[in-house]
Amino acid sequence: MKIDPFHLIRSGWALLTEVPGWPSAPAWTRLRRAIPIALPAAALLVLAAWKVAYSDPGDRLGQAGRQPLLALEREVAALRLACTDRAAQDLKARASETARTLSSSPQGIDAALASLEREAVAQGWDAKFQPVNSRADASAKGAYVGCQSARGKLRPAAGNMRPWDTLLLLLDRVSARKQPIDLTHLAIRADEEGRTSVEVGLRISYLINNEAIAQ
Amino acid sequence: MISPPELENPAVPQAPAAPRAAGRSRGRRRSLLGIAWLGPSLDAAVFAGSSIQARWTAPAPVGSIEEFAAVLPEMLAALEFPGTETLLLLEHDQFIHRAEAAPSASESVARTYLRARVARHERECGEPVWCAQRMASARQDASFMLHLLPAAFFEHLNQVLAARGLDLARIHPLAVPLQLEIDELAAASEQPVLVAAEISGMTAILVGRSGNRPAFSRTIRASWADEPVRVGVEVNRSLLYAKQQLGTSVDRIRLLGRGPAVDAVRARCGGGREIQAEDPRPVAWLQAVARLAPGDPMNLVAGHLQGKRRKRLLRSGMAAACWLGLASLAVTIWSDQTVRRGERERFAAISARETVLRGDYGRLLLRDAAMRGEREFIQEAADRRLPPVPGRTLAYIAGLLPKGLRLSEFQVDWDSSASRWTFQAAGTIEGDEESSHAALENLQQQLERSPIQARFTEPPRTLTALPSPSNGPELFGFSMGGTLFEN
Repeated sequence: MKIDPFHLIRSGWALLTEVPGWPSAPAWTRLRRAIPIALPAAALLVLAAWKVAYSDPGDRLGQAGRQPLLALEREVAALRLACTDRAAQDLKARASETARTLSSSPQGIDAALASLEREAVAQGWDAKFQPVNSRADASAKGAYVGCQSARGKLRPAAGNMRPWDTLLLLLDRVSARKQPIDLTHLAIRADEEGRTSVEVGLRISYLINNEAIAQ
Repeated sequence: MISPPELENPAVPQAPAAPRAAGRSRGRRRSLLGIAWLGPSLDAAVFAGSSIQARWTAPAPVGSIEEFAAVLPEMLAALEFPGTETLLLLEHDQFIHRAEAAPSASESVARTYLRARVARHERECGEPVWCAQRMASARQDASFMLHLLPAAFFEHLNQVLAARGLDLARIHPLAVPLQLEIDELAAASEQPVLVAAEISGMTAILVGRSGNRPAFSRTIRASWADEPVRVGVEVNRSLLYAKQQLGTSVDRIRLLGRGPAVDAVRARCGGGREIQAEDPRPVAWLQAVARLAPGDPMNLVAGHLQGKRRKRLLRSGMAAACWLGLASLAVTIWSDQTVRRGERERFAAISARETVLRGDYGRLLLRDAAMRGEREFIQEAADRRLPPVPGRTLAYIAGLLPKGLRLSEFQVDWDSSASRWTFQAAGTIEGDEESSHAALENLQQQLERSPIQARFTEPPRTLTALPSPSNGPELFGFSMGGTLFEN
């Protein structure tokens, strides 16, 4: 269908401005007739244009400028929500407590072994512990905790009439120490004459990187 | 082009219609001003329902709209018409009646054809207001009578009436009351009737059956007083034409006029025909037409008024849409501004503590990094620990050893490469071979079901006889080994 745009414009203009029963109404009267439609339509257009061309772009620009600080605020809130300061303090305390149980020097390991010897003597056993291998071997790169191996030989002291019970007690004491000394090898041999010899292998954890707890 | 809402219905409504609402008062709404402007003669009457309230006849001929406008105040003063709705029964030089034979394929085809004819008329003579009257025909084609009134004439007339507060709601051609005359005259008969009316120097002729479409209508310039013979000839020619159209002869003639033309018609057409003569009665015609519904298809301005109503509705709709759109946009903008004001205020508050925020952010990042390290450290320290398996295993096995079984060797090792515990045990057991086997079997089962979950290597054990002391029980050496905490 062929549409005449001029006819459409004329029809629209007539619809907008036609005064019923007064086809030759003067321009001012026709314009007044158009006011109920033209006024809100014009206001609508002006407002829409202001919104699209001025208000919205300005707001978008402002929002873009504010975005970094708002993102920072969101990030801080998220970090606070993820973990409370109290939880962080508790974790730090646990880390410190763990660190305190670990030796941080060779002298500490030697002292721990000496302490074990004293403990064995107290339980009626003659003991000799000595470290084996180098300390650096036991730790991976970037690890916080390293391990030092040690060997020990024990024999019941003269007068120890309950070697079996005292050995079990001694092993329990070793396991119950706060300082992490783990038994990795236990060999007990009794000869025909009833003499008992015990060999033990130990693994002593020590602190090799204290950055984690130093912060 | 101002067009009727639809083509004429075959059945002309006979029931009196309610007058159009005028809007001034309840009493006024019932009133209708009927104006019969037939050639130069002008008659008017005020109707209230079906009764005539007042009537008026112009003292002088009224030919043009200017003359009409000039006598209108006198008419209104005489009639004291309180309403607005106006009916016009019109016969005028500018009011054209044109017979058209449209294709009879369908009603829509006929309508399209007629619209095309009107469009052609519009191109040649300007925009009309029009209606189409379906005519009866013995032939197959669809006959119509187009009644075409220049829109400019209508607008001018409407303007004159509107200036007096009158609403020109209906314009009917003279053919409408003449058809009603036929309906009244031949109500009980199906025989066709010819009606001829004198209209101020003109003669209107219409032939039709009661309650049916007219066969044809024509208006000729022939005065009943000055050209009686011509009137007689034209009436006779109309009778012959009607016979062709209807296929039957017209035996009844009604003459609405006086003068020598009546005698001329009797002389030329009277053979065997019933001829009645009466005075023209425009007010009665108006009264009959006033009974028709305002939306009657023979109302020239029905379509125009419908269009006006449509335009009014469209205007109202557009105005409502514009105002609603404006209100909606205003609310949206206000809402946006409120939200953005809130955002700006929040941003201002955040900006005021930007330094604190940045400090907090750095501190929190450090705290999180430290926590990560602390967690890893604690986890690593825990992972490095080994459970006290050797001591516990030794204690457990010592509790299970049956009488007569002695351990001479016991060994537990942590295999770091395979991450598992292994054990070896060896010793002696007293008793015969069978009981020794059973005791060791029992020990093995207990260790397998125990919390240390021992699993023995194949063969699970070896048993070798040892020299036993004199007079002592048999002595066997045994050894066993396997893994611990294996599922």
